Amino acid sequence: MSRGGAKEPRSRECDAADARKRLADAEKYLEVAELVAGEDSLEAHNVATGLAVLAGIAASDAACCKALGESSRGPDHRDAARFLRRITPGGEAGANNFERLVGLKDKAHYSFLNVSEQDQTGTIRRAGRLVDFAREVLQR
Amino acid sequence: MNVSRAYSAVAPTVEGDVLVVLAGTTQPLTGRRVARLARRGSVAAVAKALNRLVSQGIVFRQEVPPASLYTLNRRHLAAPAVETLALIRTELLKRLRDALSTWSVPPVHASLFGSAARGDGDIDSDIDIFIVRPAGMDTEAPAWEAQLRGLGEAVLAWTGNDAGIIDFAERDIEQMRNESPPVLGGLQRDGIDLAGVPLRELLGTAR
Repeated sequence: MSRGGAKEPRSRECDAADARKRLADAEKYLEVAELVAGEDSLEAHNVATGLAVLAGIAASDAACCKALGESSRGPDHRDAARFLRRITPGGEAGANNFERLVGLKDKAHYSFLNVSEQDQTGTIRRAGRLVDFAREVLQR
Repeated sequence: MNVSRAYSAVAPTVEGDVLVVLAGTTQPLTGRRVARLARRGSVAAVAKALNRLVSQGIVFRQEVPPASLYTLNRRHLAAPAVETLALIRTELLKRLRDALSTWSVPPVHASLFGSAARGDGDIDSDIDIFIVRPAGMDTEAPAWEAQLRGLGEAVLAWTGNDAGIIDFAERDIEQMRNESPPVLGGLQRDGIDLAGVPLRELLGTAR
């Protein structure tokens, strides 16, 4: 294996039990995101989007723990996408989904800008796909 | 078939467990990591299996001192067969979903539960399926019975295992929620949705 090029992302070891725990977290985040998204307010859009992002991060951890025995530990979510991409089959699509999802994280969590309803809907849909992917990986 | 290690129907040794782990990732793994991810086999047994697989060319070994890293050789003639074996459980779920989607009387809900859902059964375990029939549909209605029988026969043909089908009336769901029989806990903990209303909505409780 070439050790040159991109630095190996920071990771932590985890196992199938951790994967189940993170999947349960992801499902709950997504459930609450969908619940909050039902409210018609700008704050609700931000909170629902933030929760959907957390659902996607937890789903990513779950899939990586099951297939790779490790998940990303660093603050850079692009590292998590790198791990996701190594899962076969399906990791490539999962990583692309994840990168789009976390693109809205800062806006939802820290910004003075509000997330649009369209972005909220898209983020919840992407999080749902990631949770489905994680479920499928855990069922392999 | 042992649904928890479905590939063991044709790859019963530790090599099967090792190949399935390597098929699941493009990331080079140490032997110790493979042993941790494999459903079976000590570190020593996995190391021996990896050596045998390397000599067959189906697994690549890369030396990164002090470690050896292993990957599946996806260009090997046998690699597509390994990739198929790694997804047998996914294929079982797909076939169950496909079969249920063709029912002329669709179920209100269907899910896999028990050992097949948990992945800890053995060769003799039933494939447990929880099915909720729609209101007004008698359990002995010929069309409904034929669907259940057909599903049971298909499961037996696909796996060699009997299907343990729980045929449940929609109106009895409320009673099940109130009485909380053991099967409810099993469904909430391990159930995998196959058709109709998701379990979470059906049972009205957090999973």
